[in-house]
Order: sequence, then structure tokens, then C-alpha cells
Amino acid sequence: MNDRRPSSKTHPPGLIAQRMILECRDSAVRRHAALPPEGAGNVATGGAATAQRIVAEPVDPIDRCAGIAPAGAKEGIQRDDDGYRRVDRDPLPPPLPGRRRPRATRDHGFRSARPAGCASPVATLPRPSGAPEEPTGFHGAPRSFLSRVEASHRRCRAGARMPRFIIAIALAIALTPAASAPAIAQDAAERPIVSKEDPRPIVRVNLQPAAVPNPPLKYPLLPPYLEQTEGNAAHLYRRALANWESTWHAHKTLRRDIVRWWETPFADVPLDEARNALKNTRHILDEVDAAARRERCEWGLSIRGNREIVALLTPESLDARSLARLLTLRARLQALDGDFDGAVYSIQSGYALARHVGEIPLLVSSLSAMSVAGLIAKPVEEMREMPGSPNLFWSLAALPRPLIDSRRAVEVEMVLLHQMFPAFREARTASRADDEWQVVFESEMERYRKMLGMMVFEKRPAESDGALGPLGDKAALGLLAMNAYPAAKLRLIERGRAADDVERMPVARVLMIDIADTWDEAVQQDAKWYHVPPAEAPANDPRRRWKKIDPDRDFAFVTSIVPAMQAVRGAQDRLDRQIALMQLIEAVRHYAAIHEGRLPAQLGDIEELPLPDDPITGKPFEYRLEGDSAVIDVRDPTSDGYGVHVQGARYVLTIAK
Amino acid sequence: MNRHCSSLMTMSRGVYPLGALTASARKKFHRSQGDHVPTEGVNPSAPECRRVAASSSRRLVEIALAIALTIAAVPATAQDRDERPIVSKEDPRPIVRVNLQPAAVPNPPLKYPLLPPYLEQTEGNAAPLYYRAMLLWEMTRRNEPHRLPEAEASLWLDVPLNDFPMEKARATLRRAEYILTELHGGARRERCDWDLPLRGNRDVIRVHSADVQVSRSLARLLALQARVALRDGDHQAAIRAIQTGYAFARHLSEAPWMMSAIVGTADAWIISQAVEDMRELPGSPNLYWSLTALPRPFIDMRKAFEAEFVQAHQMFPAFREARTASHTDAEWQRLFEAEVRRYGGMFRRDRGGDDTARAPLQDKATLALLAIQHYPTAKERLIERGWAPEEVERMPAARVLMIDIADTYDELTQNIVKWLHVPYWQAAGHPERSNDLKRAALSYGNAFSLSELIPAFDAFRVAGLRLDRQIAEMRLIEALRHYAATHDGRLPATLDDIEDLPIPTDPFTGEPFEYRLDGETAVIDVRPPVQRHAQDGKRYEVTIAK
Repeated sequence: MNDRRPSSKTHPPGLIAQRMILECRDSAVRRHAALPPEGAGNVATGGAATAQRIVAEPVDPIDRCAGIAPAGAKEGIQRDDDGYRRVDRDPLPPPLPGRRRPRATRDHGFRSARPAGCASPVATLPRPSGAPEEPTGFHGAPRSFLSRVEASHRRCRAGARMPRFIIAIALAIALTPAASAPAIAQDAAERPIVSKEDPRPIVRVNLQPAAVPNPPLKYPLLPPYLEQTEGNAAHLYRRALANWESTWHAHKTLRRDIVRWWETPFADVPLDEARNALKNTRHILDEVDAAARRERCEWGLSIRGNREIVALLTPESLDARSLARLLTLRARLQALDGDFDGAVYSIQSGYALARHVGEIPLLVSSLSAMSVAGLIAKPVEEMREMPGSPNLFWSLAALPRPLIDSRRAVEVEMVLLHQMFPAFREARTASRADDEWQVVFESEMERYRKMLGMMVFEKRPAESDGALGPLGDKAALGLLAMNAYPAAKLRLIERGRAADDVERMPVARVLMIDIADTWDEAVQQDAKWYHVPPAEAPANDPRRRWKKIDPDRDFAFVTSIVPAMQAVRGAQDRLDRQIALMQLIEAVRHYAAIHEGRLPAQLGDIEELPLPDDPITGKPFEYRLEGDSAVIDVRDPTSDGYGVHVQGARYVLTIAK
Repeated sequence: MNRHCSSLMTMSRGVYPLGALTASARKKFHRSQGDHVPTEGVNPSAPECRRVAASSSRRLVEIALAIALTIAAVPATAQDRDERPIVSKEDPRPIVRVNLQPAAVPNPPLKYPLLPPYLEQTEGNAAPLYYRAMLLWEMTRRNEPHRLPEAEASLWLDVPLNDFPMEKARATLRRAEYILTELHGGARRERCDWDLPLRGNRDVIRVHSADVQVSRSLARLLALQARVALRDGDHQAAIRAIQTGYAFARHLSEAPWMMSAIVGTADAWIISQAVEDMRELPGSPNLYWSLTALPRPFIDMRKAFEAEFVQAHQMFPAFREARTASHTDAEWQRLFEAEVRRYGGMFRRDRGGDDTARAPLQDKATLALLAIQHYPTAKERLIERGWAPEEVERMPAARVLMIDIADTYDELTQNIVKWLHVPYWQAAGHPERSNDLKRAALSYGNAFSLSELIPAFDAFRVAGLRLDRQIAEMRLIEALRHYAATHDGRLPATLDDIEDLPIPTDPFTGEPFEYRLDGETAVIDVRPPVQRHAQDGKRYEVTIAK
């Protein structure tokens, strides 16, 4: 183990989790991308490790975040080239000891068929000798979060909700940038917390006073219009990513180093090695710089109309973080050398990269884009402590809000079921013979079974047949359908269909329409809150906890792939808060510069600049002066719409003498 | 008053926004200006519109549009606007009476999306279909003017839904079916790339805008289609027309061009009339969540602002390049003269070939005198901005002037544009903003004036925000419908009583709208934004239909 690698304790809360999840996802991509084309079965060919699939990965990310691991599952832990632990499971998890199988007629196959890793009691991941101590909990997270995770875990075991839902929340939280966990490097081992009762970390910032420049937008943080060129950025990004693949394979430690350096206080970064790394990757960053200055970015992914969209690989968004780390490294070195124009140029490329990645209309890509933006904030946060660095108040103010807009991704994910299984939706209007309806229904359920086996169980369909219960058994499916029919019929009538029409419909058609309607209800009840800004209904507004579909309802499992859109909105808002916080601290720098190095007694004293409100609460940040220090308290609502607690932070600002 | 302002006022008298104003608002506006009241004030084919659009004074048209959209705060609900009461003489905000049909929010809540849903979209570029619709409209209008009675169609939008001339309207829609087909198709394309010759175009100010302005006629056509469908009780068809109209408005604004963004804003206003009509119709769906799901801002002007605020650098690149370029003294002089002459040709010619204005630019000696006159102050400003005094002393006078022009332009525009990124309620009352126009006074006599190169950013922003406020008002009123439907037809005593729906805030203030219950009438007071005319506000008086 390289002793330079920072211990897990040195990372701000969330960053460990973020890295672990993303590396885990990287690992999954690599693992699956290496599969032979036939390896994934006949539904999701070509490796079948998609972003969606990674989101659907049962427990890895959340277990790693929370220190929860399936002790019941046989695991082998090994270390890859990057020094990260990988967990390989047996193909099929063992049966649950002492767990009683529910009634056969009510068993959709999702209770007994728990996802791999959801089977066992909560336990701590075993640690290989010599490995750094792994977190035993979500860093700094209160117990409530862990209990939530455990509860989710239990629900997952019970088959009430599919893990994709939970994992997406975990991703959204873990990918949350430094609003609550600033990217600025500190010796976290010694980082104090506010108090035992309020375990928010204290972040100390020693500011260099600097007035806002004139012209005020002299240092734009996105490529300015006159520097943009015509053409599509996506081609250049893909070239850069291909070059990155070959480069880091040629320089084995490079990938690990840039992760490590990003996390390390700059004073501890070996400058010669860092400069050498940049020299070896200059051709990559040239492509990224050019791409970031293209006026449009069309990824050309086969998303629209793709019935197997969950099998779509999106390495563009996942590996963009490596490019972001390279850009961050370059910006930090440029700032260290006093080349602030150069540093701003690198930051421009980084933020443009984040926004371009965010244009992929998939939620997981939006989350990756937020992660990229969170990484790029690091040099911005470091520069404020460097003498001679420009004040970026207006530059930050001019960034778009939201910086990463997930609207298009939400639109796509809202119709995920309809796109993947169009027959459900078409059943509302299509006209077929009775036996055709039955054939179509069975065919779609068969496709669903295969897809689910791939998404959730990571198994080829044949392997997961046993786990999928009645969906893998035609007779059992028929029985399930007959059981579900009366209630489905009633729901159709409740939703406004003529009772006579419904009575005349074949059973299969009734079920298909009910599935489509159930999906729309579930997904829209969640999606509608995505569009409500926190100022109108804060994240902990109880109304956001929409009435979920009864998991005991037959065929309610279709809602298991409903994306966690509110959680994504939460991540989006927290990214905006990170920017607002940076802006606020730049305003304090400005005040100090024009008031002989003094800090404002209250925010109202900063008369020259319009101060941003906290985008999550819609209210001003809490600020007070304590002696020679200014204190900014950043608090999160007690929980977001999913009942997940996200931590805040306390900033203690001083002025450099 | 500088030339910028005077031209703004001049334009606002003659060429104001087509379609964005109701008939009575147009009349009132003209009366207030002491003008003859035109019978057709919003027709893009009106001679004065064509004249202006055909000229290179795009900036002036934009300003006029923005001003008009400012006035267009007058709500579009169907009423006899000439008889619309005002709150009081001291508070001349118009009163808008709305008689609501109670309706609870649907389940699923986004059942009636107001933009084309993802599954209805198709791949490809929307612009060719829109261009076809514009072409077909123009051809029909010119060759068969009887076929599409645009003036009538425009007036029909002001008529209350119950008094609507249905047969005439249906006939018009039938005749325009081939145009509507193109629009519906375009609105459902997943992207819109107008391919306008903007980037790198030194003559960008001369890009013709007449085709974009035709879009207002097309928006009126869509609004007409929606209203006819509403009268027929076909809410799905009405929603489809509204989807097309809103998507068209947003597609227009995707060009990095202020003219497109402003016209898109005007189009969205026109389409919103149909949305407002729906709430008074029995059986019409509640659109609270559909309106909530609309993007905010509805028209994103960021790309247009970005392009516009460096437009002078694009049109006169030599000024900006002077910061770093290297030339001989004679070359600097030649470059300076050439750029100033281009400026004169571009702006003075628009004033009808005013030779007096151009005279100094024709005369090399006069130009040189002008340069010498402004050189000392320009030199001082360069040193103040951080240039080394020795370096500035060594520079030829022409280069000093050119750098000064570029730097001053950046200072002016950026000190204006930065406020666009701040919430309106913070920006509007900030003392620093009052100095903006004073700063804009830099000019070299008749030869060159920076103020002419700076768009009326603030007016554009207000136009966009007003549209967002209109959407927020519609949301609030839909929330009242929901409350009434779930509370035996009663109106809430306070907005807090509407517990199951989030209450929208006023985008101008960030605060909830003022609401009170007065007997059986709910009163919503929409105050005018800071430093804006009272007509920018309104008072809603909402009752529940029995």
C-alpha cells in the first residue's frame, strides 16, 4: 500500500463515498465491458454493463458507503491495479437462512429473489491485511442516515423496492459536491466538528482579500462566446477518452495518482510528479480544451426508441471524472505558479465538460456531470487562499443555475417503462384478438424478466430464472395474472374507463393497461416534485413523500425501475449551493479588500454586492462574526424527500495577515 | 437623453409588438402616446414594421419589442378590455375578473403536458419545418390574401370564447391546415438548429429578422386552433395546439440572437391566452402540475445575452485585437479609421443616410482631430486599468484609442450584464445600477458612440420575467381551482389553506403573491416590479362559477 494514499479519515464526508461508488461503477463497467458479446445473454448483448445497470447494481455502492456488506454472500476481496478493493461474488447468493418463503400466490418472485448482496444481515466489510481502515459508516453521517440505509436494505431484502431506486439515492447523495463537504483539502484527520450533538465538520478558510475586478466578468468560468467554435464537442471528448485509456494503461499509476492528488492538500502533492503527469497527458487535455469550446455537444447515443436502453454503455460520462481530475490538477499547478488566467482557462474547460456531460439525457449521466462539476470546484476554492488571485464573485454569479439541468434526463426516465416495453402503453388504444393479447403480455413479461435479471441480478437470464419466481414460469405467471385481474379491473374503472369496456377486455389487456397506468402514476407523482423549487417546498416538505404504490399490489414491481428523480434534484440543488457558498466567500474577500482587511459584522454590511441565498432553503446563509473569524453555518434540512439526511458544514473564515 | 434612449422612444411609438398587445391595450398605448389609434397595430406586414425590419436597425426593433412586451402585461383573458376597470386613479392597475370552474389536479399529475412529451418527439431538426411554415404563410398571405384573414384571426383572440366566430375560425384553420401540419411536426422534433449566420459574422447586425417576426402570425394561428378546440370541448386537441405553440416559442429562443428570444417570448404570451381560457370552461382539466413542470425561465435568454454582449467585438474585431496585435503606426491609423468608418456606415446609414452625421467620418483630417482630442483621456484610462505608463506612452494614438474603446465597452456591458445573473429583486434596487447609463456616455462626438452598441438587456430580461410571472399567476389560479374542487366550491381564506400544493412565488420579488378573500371573491394583487410602470401590475378578482 502506498503510504501517500490518504487514509479514509482524511476525506471530507461524502467524498469517500463518492469515490467508492464511482470507482465501483468504473470497475463494473470495466468488468462487463470485458465480457464477450455473447456473455450477456440474448437481451443485453455486448457486455450489458450500462450506466443504468450500474445504478441498479444491488448493494455495492451503498454498502461501501455505509460500511454495510453482505456477510452471507461469499465474497472474495482483492485489490486491482488502482489499489482499490474489488468484491467478487459467487454467481448466485446462498438462500436466506431461516427466512420463510411468503405465500406462493403472492410471491412475485421478488421477495424470495432478493438481489445479490441484499440477503445477509448488516455487517462490516472484512478488511484485508495491510489495507487502510475502511469506513464503518457514512463519514460523518448521523446514525439516522445509517438506519435509513439499513431500513432500505431490509426493504430491499423483503423485495418491497428494487435496489436501483435506493442506489440512485445513494449516488445522488454521494455525488453531492462540496456544499456540505468542501473540496478544499485539509488535514481531515484533525478536522474538528461543531459538537457531538452537531457533528458537522468545521472548514477553516484563510482568505486573501481581493476586490471584484473591473470589468466584473473578466474571468468567466465557462468558455466565452468569442472563444467558442462551431462543431460538435462529443467527437473530441471521445478522442480524449480513448487517449486517456491508452495513456493510463501505459502509465500504470497515473489513474491512481490523479485521484490521490485531488484528495491531498496541495502542499503534499509531489510537484515534479504532478508536472510530469500533465506532460504525459497534454495531448488529452488539448482535446478536452478544444471540445469545451465547441458550441454544441451532441453525443449521438442511441437513447430514443431504444427498447434496450438499460444495456446502453455510457463510458463518456463515467470517465469524464478522470478528465476533470486532470484539468483540476493543471488548474491547481497553474494557480500555484501564479498563472491565474491559465487556471481560469482550465476551470472553464472543466465546467464546460460537466455541462456537456449533463446533456446526455440519462439521470446517471446527470449525476456524473454533477460529480465533474464538484471536482472542478477544488481549484476555485483553493485560489481564494492564494495571494494575488482574482475575486471570482461575479464569475460565479454568472454560472447558469442549475449548473447541471437534469430536465431532459427526467423526461427520458419518466417514460423508461414505455420505451422498454411499449406494448403496455399501446394496450390502451391497440386492437387485437384475445389470444394475441395473451401472447403479447407473455412476451413482454418475458422481456421484463430478462431485463430485470440483467439489471438487478447481474445474471444471464438462464441463471436468474430460479430467482425470478413466477416470471420465469409460465404457469405461475398465469396464476399471478388471474389473481391480479380483479383489482386491476377495478382500478381501470376508477381511472375513468367505462365499466362495460373494461369487462369486455381480455384479462391480459386489462393487466397491461393497469401496469402502464400504475407506472405513470408512480413516476409522475415523483417527477412533479422535481419541478418544484426548494423555495416553494423545501426538501423536507412532507408533501414530497408521495404515496408510493402499495408493494403488495400485484405487478407493482414494475415501479421498481422508477428513477429517484427527487434525489437527483437534491443533488442538483446541492451543487448550486456549493456555487452560492463560493460566491458568498468571494463577497467576504471583496469586503475585506475594501475595508482594510476587516470581516463584515453581518452580511448586510456587504452593500456593494448582491449576496446569494442558500438555494436549498431559499433564505440567506447564516453568518456571524466571532472575534477575528467569520462563521457561516450551512445546514441541510433534516431530511430530503426520501428521508435521507445530508450533512451541512460550518465555515470559519479568517483573513490572511 | 442619449441617442439610445431617444431612438427607443421613437421606435416604441411606431413599431411595437405585434401580437403581444390586445386590441384595447394597443389603443390605450397609442392614446397615451398622443398618436392616432391604428386599426391594426400588431401586423408584421404593416409598412412601418417592414421598413424597420428591412433596415439594419435590428437593435431598435428588439428594443421596441421589449418595450411592447413590457406593456403586454395586460392579461390576455377574454374580456372586453375597453371596459376593464382599474383599481383606482392612484393605482391604475387593471382588474382582471376570472370566474373559475373548480377542478382537482389529475392523477397522474402530468397527464396534460404543455410541451410535447418525450415519446411524441422525433429525431431531427425542427428548423426546416418551421422555415417551411413561415414560407407557406408568406406565400399564402401575398398570393391569396383572402385565404388567411390574419387581421381577423388576430382580433378573434380578443373575443370572449363564448362570442367566438366559430365558423369563420374553422374555415381559416382549414385553409391553414398545411401550415399547421408543419408547425406540429417541427414542435415535436427533438432539437432546433436555426443555422443563422451569426457566429463570426462582422455584419451580424444586418441579419434579417422578417422571417422570425412571421412567427407571431403562426403563434396566433395556433392559439386560434386551441381556442376552437376548447369551444368544441376537445381538451386534448387544445392541449396539443398549446404544446406546439410553447415548443415553437422555446425553439425560437434557441438561436443565440436576442431577436429570436424576444419573439419567442411574445409567442408564448399569445399561446398562454388559450391556457387562461381553459380555467373558465366546465370540464377542463386542472393544469397546476402541467404549468409547474414548464421550464423556468420559460425562455432562456442566456445564449442570446452571451452572444449580444460581445457583439461589438464581433463587428469591430480590430478594437479588441489592438490589445495584443502588433502593427506599424501607419497601420494602426489605417485600422482605426477603417473601423470607425464601418461604424459610421453601419449606424448612420440607418438614419436615412444622414450626410451630416457621416460628414466627420468622410474627412480624414477631422477624424485625426477627433483622435487627438480624445487621446489624452484614453491614455489616462489605460494607465488606470493597469497598463504600464511607459508602454502606453510608446503606443500610437490610434492604438490607444482602440484599446480604450474595447476596454470601455467591456466595462460597460459587463457592468450591465452582471446584474442579469442576480435575482431581479436584488438587481432592481441596487444603487450601482443607476450609474449604468451615465457610464454609457462614452462617445467620440458623431463619429462613434458605445451606447449604440449596447443592447437593452434589462428590458429583455423584464420581458422574460413577465412571462414567467404570467405562468406563476396561472399556476396560482389553478391551485385555487383545485382547492375549490376539494372544498365544496369554496375559495381559501389564505394561501396557506392550500395545503396539498406548493404555492408559486412572484419571480420579480421572490415572495408569494398578495392574496385575500373578500366575501366570495378572492383578490390577488400583482404589484408592478420595482421601477416599472403601474400597468405592469394587475389585480385578479376570482370567483367560483355556480
